[in-house]
Amino acid sequence: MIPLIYFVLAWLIFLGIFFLLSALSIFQMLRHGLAHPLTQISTAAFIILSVVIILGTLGYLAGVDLNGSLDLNSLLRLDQSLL
Amino acid sequence: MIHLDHLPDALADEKLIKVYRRHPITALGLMASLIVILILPIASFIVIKINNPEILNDQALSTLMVLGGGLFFMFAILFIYQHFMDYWLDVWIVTNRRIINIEQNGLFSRTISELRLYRIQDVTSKVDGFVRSMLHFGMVYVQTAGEKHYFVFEDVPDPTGIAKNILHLAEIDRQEHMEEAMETMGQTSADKHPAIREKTATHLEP
Repeated sequence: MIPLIYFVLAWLIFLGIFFLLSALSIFQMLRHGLAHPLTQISTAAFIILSVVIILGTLGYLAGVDLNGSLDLNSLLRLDQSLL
Repeated sequence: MIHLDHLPDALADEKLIKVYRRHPITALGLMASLIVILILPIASFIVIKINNPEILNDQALSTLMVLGGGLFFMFAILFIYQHFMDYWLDVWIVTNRRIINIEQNGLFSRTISELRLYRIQDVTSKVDGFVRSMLHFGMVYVQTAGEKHYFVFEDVPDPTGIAKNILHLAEIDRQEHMEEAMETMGQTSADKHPAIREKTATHLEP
């Protein structure tokens, strides 16, 4: 049995890495890109999509009991259903 | 941001002629494969729903899938954005005085090189391969006098037209450069003449 909170903590670490890489990419794009509408549109689309995914995940997490834990047998069942 | 009205280290009377980029199809190749990758998690979800729908009732497992799926999509769009950035930040700016090549490699590697048009000696265009021939894009190699390495426009649309355009602009710039040089030489000689005349006059005085 693995507590769910461990998965959430791992997700937060990856979210931090994502923020760092995104900030660097956006900074480079806005600093070195030509002054053109597509530069702004692509950056805005990237930010909006990222925010939608993060808010969607957080919204889902808000309704989950994080004290629960994951049974390894259910992971095996998931694996079987995919194969 | 780079404003085309204010080019870096702009020269006197410099006017923007055109900005060239790689053909969009060069960016679409990886984009298409990424779209296929993006479909994978959705397809997996559908397979689970058909084969074993009771798994989705397990809250812990559903949470794991939402967290994993979210991360997958986030990093996929970040990868697409960085790939677009790599395409978008590579530009060749042609003005009536020079060619500026700006090349972005990854996040932290950036090369800017420029070439004065009057120094151009040879321009070659090359279209090879099926896709390039069909969509008419390819390479343009610009060579200057006394230099072994080429200045390369990679996978640009209409390379033949670009080569002709650059040769034409180089010819105009060379003529203007010659005129400037002649004017400067002419002025120098004219400046020297009165002094020579004065010296000669003093020698000739009785």
